[in-house]
Amino acid sequence: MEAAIASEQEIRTGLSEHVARLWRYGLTLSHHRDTADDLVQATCLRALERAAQFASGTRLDHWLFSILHSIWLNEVRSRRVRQGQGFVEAAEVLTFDGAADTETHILAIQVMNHVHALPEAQRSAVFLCYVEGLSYREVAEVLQIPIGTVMSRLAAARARIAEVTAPKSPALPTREKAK
Amino acid sequence: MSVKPTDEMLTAYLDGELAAADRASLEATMAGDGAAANRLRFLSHGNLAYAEAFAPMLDEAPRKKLEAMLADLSAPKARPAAEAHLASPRIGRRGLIAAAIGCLAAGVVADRAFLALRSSLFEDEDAALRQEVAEYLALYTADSLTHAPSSTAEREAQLKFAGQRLGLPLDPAAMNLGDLQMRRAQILEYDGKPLGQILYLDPAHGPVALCIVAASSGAKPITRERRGGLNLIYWSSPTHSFVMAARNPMEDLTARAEQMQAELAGRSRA
Repeated sequence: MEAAIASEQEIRTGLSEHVARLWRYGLTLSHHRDTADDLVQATCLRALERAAQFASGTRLDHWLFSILHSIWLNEVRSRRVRQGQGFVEAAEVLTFDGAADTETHILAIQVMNHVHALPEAQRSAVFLCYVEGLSYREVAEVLQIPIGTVMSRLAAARARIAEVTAPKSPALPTREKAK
Repeated sequence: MSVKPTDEMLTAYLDGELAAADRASLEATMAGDGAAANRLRFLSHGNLAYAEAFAPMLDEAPRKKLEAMLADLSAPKARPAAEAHLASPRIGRRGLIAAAIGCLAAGVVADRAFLALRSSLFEDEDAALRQEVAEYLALYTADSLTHAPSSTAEREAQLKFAGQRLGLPLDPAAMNLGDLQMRRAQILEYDGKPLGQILYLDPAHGPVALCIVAASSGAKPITRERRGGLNLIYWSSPTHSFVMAARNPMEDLTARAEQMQAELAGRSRA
């Protein structure tokens, strides 16, 4: 079909354009470069197969994030869960080729470490919202969760990160984790 | 009378996600509620330069490799649906190997939403299962079975348990696969259903897996295929689907599968 062919080309172009962002999301989720490679590859294949399902005029990058996330959740991560395996090597995720000595990089690594230390559900919400700049509604669509869940994940993530980054002072409120 | 603002509201406020009316009302609340204002200040410490921090990661992406992979992807129509399950049949992807080691699986909490979604992903569930089996087994080596239980009693118990979960008595027929002794039997999970995995070790070709899952799609004869670098033999009884996978030559594996099929025929108590 004409339309399907046109959209396949559109998807191909989009994939090529967003491949690095997809990989970055894959790495943020999996903590493994190889798994990130595999996730991107599976995402490309799935997206091409479903080219006809993409609604022209909507955000292609968000659609791709959504595919990648569901592959991660349903096919890749689940194996680890099934096998009773935790996440490993979180610390070795990123190595900036010898560039880690500038203050900017040190700060960047600190920020990434805060994010990587978050539970996965919070991490993906933080990544999509604060790194990729999606709105709450868009994050909810990508992750296929209610917007209220996005809010609670972000709030929990913020509280967690603030615990570490807020200046220690006795005057700080120590309210229990607001539900 | 104001309600104590939740972290969610404060976070949405900081993220500029509150509607104007909610925003105004929250600001009014905070004006008279020092604790809420303090909490807001506290949460604002979660405002970090996320986008800037993650930007260098984009340069870390193996762009060339990924672009080449994309260019290699054939037009999707030519591919059977199940191939999409996980892109490549390549063996030895370290990321997944890391995940597959320690394959002793037991009780698993399956996410219902995941199952619903997953079942909508595949038109051919059986092929998806075989793909899963092949990918999984591709990661096994003889070493994977090093710590399999050595006592016969223990292995019998595993087999009995697996048989109970599957509604298919497996003992003692499955204790041996021709001249190969069973090394381990375990229950994994596939689409919310117990998936029995019985492992044998062929000294010449490595692990041989027999996977069994309850299925009601009717009896199907033995079929052979190559998938992910492995040979697969699969068939169905009226109550179960079977997949045997290994690196053994196809003929050898077929003979073993036929023997097992005969042994297990008519055993179902489901």
